[in-house]
Amino acid sequence: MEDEIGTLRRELERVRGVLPDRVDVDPEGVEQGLAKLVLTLVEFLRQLLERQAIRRMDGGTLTDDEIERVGLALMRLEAKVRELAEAFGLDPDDLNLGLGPIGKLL
Amino acid sequence: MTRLLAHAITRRATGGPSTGLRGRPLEQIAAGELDLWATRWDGEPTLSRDDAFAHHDLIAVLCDAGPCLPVRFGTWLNDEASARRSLEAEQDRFAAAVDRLGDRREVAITLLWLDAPSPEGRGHAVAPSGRAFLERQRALNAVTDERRSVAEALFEGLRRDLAVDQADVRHESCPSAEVALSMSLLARRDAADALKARATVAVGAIEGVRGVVSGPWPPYSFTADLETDGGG
Amino acid sequence: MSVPLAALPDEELSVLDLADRLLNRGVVITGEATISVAGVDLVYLGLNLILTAVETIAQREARAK
Repeated sequence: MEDEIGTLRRELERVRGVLPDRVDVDPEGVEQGLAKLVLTLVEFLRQLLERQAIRRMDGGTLTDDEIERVGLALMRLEAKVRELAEAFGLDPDDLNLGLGPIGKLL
Repeated sequence: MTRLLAHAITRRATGGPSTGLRGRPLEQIAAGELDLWATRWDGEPTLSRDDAFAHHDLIAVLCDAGPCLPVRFGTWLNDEASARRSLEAEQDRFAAAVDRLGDRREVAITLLWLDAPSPEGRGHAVAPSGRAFLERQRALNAVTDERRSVAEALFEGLRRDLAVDQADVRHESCPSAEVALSMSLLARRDAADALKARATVAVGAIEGVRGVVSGPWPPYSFTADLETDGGG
Repeated sequence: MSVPLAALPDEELSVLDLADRLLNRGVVITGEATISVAGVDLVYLGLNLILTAVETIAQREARAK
């Protein structure tokens, strides 16, 4: 059973996204905390790759076959991340490290 | 077995509160030029939401008495001796932080999108092809990027309006789906209420968002600057 | 789906903002005296440094163009 602070932390996900500033080492929280960290990182990298792929698609430097293969791979990866997030009780829409300034530069 | 729950670090003080959380004793632990304020507990209590806000109330009292550096809620220490050693090991860093934050306060601004993107909007149905997926994502990313640009522009506008020094402001644009901007401003204690009033006016004039201005609070958001030298 | 944040009264939003600061900000005391957290905090510090480094490289590349 989750304690009050754990509940409060989950409420705060709506304010600041899922990535916690720290992962509690108490055994009950650590699994979900690590899951958040890992999934947020995976989603961050997936978004970087996705943006690169879109730019290259638009820039004409990918063949049709490459576009299809990369697109399918990224789509499956996104679905898998969402599935894993839900399995850990996380809202996939809040897996947001945010590309921030990096997003604009890519 | 007793443990200490740390609340704040101040310069050496001759007096102060003696009661900590839940009526338990508040220890004032001297370490070099600094004091560490901590509640002494028996055993290992589960901290509650009320404890977090009582921690805040205690820090606010200490802040009113003088320069004060808030410690992260939930910081447990074994005993006085190890608390003293931790403080003395990084004495310069903590003393500099206490002095830099001085008797400043934090004013917080949160802007919420009035038209928050709905979760369904992200389109998670299977796309008919890899190319279709990428094209769909391109369109969705454009919307996300646009929101972030709007949020950054709102931040720049507020920073200009509220005439704050670059060093005394922190912000995050689009930290979550519903929040456009999360911003913290540092102000001198005697100027904080006026800043809050100006911020409330500025925020009320922005279209497309609902703004909430909070504080003045102890300067929680400005202790992070200390951490960039990487610790251990 | 819970109540949208934008529908909450100002006071509750302020409380959420404060709770965020209480739980996620404030100085971290590390070292032998700390029972919890310290080792994992370093992971996050590392993460910030990685992101900052990536950003710096990207900015330099953008300027070079």
